Order: sequence, then C-alpha cells, then structure tokens
Amino acid sequence: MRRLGLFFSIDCISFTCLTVMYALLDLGGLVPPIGRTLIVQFFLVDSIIAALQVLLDRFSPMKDKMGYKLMALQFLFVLLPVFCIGGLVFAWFPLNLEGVVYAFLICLVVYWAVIGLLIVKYRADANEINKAIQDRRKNGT
Amino acid sequence: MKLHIEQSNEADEVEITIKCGIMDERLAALVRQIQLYTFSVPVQKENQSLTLPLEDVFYFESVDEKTFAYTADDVFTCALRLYELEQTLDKTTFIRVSKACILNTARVQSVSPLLGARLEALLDNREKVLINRHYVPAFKAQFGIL
Repeated sequence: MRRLGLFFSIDCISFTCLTVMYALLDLGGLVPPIGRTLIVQFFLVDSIIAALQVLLDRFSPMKDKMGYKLMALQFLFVLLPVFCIGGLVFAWFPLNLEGVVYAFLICLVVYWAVIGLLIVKYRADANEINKAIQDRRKNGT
Repeated sequence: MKLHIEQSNEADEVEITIKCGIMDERLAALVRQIQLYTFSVPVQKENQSLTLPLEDVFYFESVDEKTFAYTADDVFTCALRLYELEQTLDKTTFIRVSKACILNTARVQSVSPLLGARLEALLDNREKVLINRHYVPAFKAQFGIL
C-alpha cells in the first residue's frame, strides 16, 4: 500500500511538473506546441519512471548513511526512460549536445521538484509522529 | 478505571490481571509498559555478568556479529542475537529500525525527516539513531499511525 502511494505520488508530481515546465517553454516559443499526443507520452514515461523508483525502493541494496548513492541511482532511473524512450522513441528533443543538455536540465529540475515535495510529505509524517510521542508522554504511557 | 492492589506476604510473584471491554491505544501502551517491566536482559561489562532492566535500554545494536545494549550513558555486551531479541521483545516498545538496530520507542524524544524517506530519532540522552526507510511504516504503527 505504501509503495502504491509512493508510485502515485511520484507519477502525479513529476507529470504535473514536467507538463507545466513544457507549457512554460511552449509559451516562450522555445519548444513545439504541446499537444494531446505529447501529454499522453509524458504520462507514459512518467509512469515508467515512477514504477522504476518503486522497484528501486523495494530492491535497493543501498545502505549509505547520507543516501547520496541512492539519490544518484534514482536520478539515473529518471534519465534512462527520458533518453531511451523520450529521446530515441518519441523524439522529444534532438539528440545533439544542446538537446541532451536541455533534457538533462529539465530532468534535474523535475527530479528535485519531486524530492522537494516528498520531503514536505515526510516532514508532515515526522510532525505526526512527534505529536504522538508528545501525547504518549503527556499520558504517561 | 478501578485499580486494585493486593499486597500480601503469601504472594510468590507479582500477578497483573487486566479486565477491559475494548483494548484502546492507551491501554495497549500500558500493556507494553508492563511487559517491559517483566523482562530483563542478561548483559556483560568488563567480565561481570549483570541483569539489565529493559526500560533502561535505549537501543540494541549489532556490530561485527556482536550485540550491544546501550543505556543512557553506558554500553554492555549482550549474548543474545538481534533476531532473538526481536522475537523476545515483540509487542513491547522495542522495534527494529534498521538491519543492525532495535530501538526502544519509549526513549525517543522526537524524529526528523532525512533524504531517502528515512527518519532520525533523537533519544532522551541526545543520541541520534537512524530509522531505515523500510522500517518507517512499522515505527509509525508503534505510535498508532497507519
């Protein structure tokens, strides 16, 4: 259940961030107009990324104290679908230096947006636990 | 709630009976505390064998296949393996928080979120213990949060 929640959280947050970012670039005339096909493609790739992140959460052997290795692996699992499916199959961006750099930067922004919002969620969870700890101590149990 | 205490020289051991309609979270927590009171753990320090009351233990940690019991300001070696302690301490305030650590949640002062869905627990002695993301749901359940 927790992993299903994680899947939908990652999927929804990353899809929203990516779509809004692309729409802003579209408004600036920097990318081709956003259309229905592109939105469905975004959703498909985002869902694959979310599924990979959940699998990583389940099977990750990472035990590093700060979690940096895990974050690097998470980001790699964002880049792989974007470049392999988005770049090669759907041709979202030209496979030249400029296109690859733009795609990498967009991935980076979306990844940190997802991490940031998940941290807000984890902080809310921690606050809930702290309240339960205080209640338990107040009740003397 | 009625509380009856019968003190008698004829009683060989302490016997606690709880009569209740519904086992709510406060009562379940009280039962955990009583279970904690009834257990003690055999430990060693400087070739001396001691018995440590469980409520004094902040956490157990396994390092290089040896188990250590940490109190507020002392460390003892424990002959029991971590998985044996986990089984013995089931339904008490102790809970596994990482592959190498069993934490006494009664000694947790507060928690803070860390990257990677992990938590850092601040204990009463200001020591910090890491709660691995795989154990966070069970840790939350200890406090009645599902």
